[in-house]
Amino acid sequence: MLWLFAGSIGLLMGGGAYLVLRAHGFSVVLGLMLLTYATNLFVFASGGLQVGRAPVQVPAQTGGNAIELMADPLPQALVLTAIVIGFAMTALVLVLILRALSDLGSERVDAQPMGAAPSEPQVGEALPEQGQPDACQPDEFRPSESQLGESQAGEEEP
Amino acid sequence: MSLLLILPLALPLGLGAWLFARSGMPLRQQRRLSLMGALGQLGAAVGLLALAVDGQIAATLIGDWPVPYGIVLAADRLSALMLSLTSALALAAIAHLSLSAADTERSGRHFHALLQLQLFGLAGAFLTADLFNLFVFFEVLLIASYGLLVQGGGPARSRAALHYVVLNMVGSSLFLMGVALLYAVTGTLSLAELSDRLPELAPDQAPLAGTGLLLLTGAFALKAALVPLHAWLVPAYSAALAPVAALFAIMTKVGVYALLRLFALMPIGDALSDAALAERLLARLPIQTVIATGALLTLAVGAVGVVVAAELRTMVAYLILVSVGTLLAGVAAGTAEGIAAGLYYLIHTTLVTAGLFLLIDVISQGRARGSWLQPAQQPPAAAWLGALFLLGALAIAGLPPLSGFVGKALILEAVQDASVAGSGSGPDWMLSWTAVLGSSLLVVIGLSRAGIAIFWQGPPSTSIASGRGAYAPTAAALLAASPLLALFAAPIAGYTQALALQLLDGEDYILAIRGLEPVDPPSAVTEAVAKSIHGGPS
Repeated sequence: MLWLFAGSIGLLMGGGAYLVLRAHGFSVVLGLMLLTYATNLFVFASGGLQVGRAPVQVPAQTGGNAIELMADPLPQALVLTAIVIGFAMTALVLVLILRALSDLGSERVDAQPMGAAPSEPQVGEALPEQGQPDACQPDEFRPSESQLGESQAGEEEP
Repeated sequence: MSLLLILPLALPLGLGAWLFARSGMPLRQQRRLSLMGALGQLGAAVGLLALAVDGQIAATLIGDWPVPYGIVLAADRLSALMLSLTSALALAAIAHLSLSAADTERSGRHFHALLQLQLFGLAGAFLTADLFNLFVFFEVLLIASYGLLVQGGGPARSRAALHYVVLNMVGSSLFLMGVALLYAVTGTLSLAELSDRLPELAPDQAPLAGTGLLLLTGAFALKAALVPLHAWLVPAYSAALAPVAALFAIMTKVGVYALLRLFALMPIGDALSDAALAERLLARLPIQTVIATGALLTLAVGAVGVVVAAELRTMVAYLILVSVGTLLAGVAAGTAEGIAAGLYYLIHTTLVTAGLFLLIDVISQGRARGSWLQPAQQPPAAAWLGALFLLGALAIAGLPPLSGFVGKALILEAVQDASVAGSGSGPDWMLSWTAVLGSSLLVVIGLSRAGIAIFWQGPPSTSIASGRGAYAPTAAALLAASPLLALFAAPIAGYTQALALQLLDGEDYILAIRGLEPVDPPSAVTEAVAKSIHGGPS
């Protein structure tokens, strides 16, 4: 059981990491969900894997269990908290992606803002990075910088 | 005493919930309530600070559960200092909002509710004495910060918020895994118990605990924006509304705070010379080296960013990166002097960068080009704003009369001492000196360029300064902290020195938490459970 459990956590983690690194918002949400599941299972296992043991103490009159035969209740409580938080976070990310979809016109995580805010200098031509289809993660930070650089250069020339 | 500990949590939580329920309330009224909430929190924080100055550690049991189970809140010198900084920043941010009409229009109905929940999360993170509750409060403050970040709307904010949320969710997963690993080997999550049990682990369990500690380091380094985990910071901070960005100045410091707590858990510094400990894996964890190297990289990236930034807000966001690098360079020395110097610098940099965010908000509202560094008509009241900008620039660059200089000098001295004494496992002190001093030079160059573009290149303003916010009173108040910090450098550095000793020693913290007794005696069942658990970790 130990190997099955560890293997499933590894599989979930690997799948989650792969999906989070994809460029599409929906894949990222799925990836985050898998990562959260893997983490929850991991936390659950931190109390030791036991079968058929209750996390509460049953009174002796009803054929109770000794404290030694109790499952560790703390990780279960932690997992419950973590599940709730993970659920809320996933909902939040979904809302943010929908928001980004309406603001940016694309659900890709590396989408560029369409047109700049009125106070900012206009960025003229399309950025070179936009041609690369799946280069999300390494480029995540670059577009905004290159955008700033270009806008500055464009303004200083005249 | 327990009231002082509960108030900074209960007040913003209650107020935040109330404001959410009554979100139809006029903004002015919401702002007044929010301001009063922050004032109350500041009062409690100062009360805790007064207790902490004498070395007293306030601690309380929530819900009256006996020590190993219940939620424990504790405020030592470090917690009290961070809490006071947080409430002071919140006060300035809310006051700034009430002075600047534009921001009032841009912020949404739920702004103050979210701000209060953010304060709740921050206060909880600083006061909790339990690793899992630290996780929970991290999530609370992060959820609130996502909401605050998108205030005002717009594509840039949506994009920054999305990246920020995704990166932080991955970080939270790492955090939780680290917590689970530590629980699996030690059977406790209380910070006090952990620091007691970690050095006594069996050799076969030490690798697991080490993995857990390294995962936690990764998660906290992400919050502290240590390069290469810094990518979320600059877009998020430069996209946020000015009061939000000012409050966020404390957010990277939450990561630094958590790293410090982690340091306190581990046998580092003096303990390294102990042969028996050094043989164990935990004492040889490369956490100090990782942080020291990361700090140098952060300094480099931040300083280059300051020089090339095309916009003032981006520039200040990079200044935050530089300041994180500088203070972690001190902390990574691992000695009490290093941590003390880093914390003195932390007070300075938090207040000054927050002040700069508020100042450039006023400046960019008065210019046609906004916060972009292109010649345009000067903002109204340019002489006064220029003087404030000069004050902030001198302070953050670390030039002599102000607190930045004192902080950097303390850090450099501590790094050299630690390296010469051989107790620091970080890079050679010359490397740290080069990075800190080189970054200061680049910061001076970058800020000079900004000052020239805004205040010298361009005709004087034709419009007259109007409105209460035109003279940036909130920014002035925050920036005024810098000369004060320099003037009272001795007592403040004395406090941070005592803080570092208290943190590294850890004995007082453990005793304060173990000494807590519930008001009602525990029942027979809890006693029995306590006995079986204390029999030894499974």
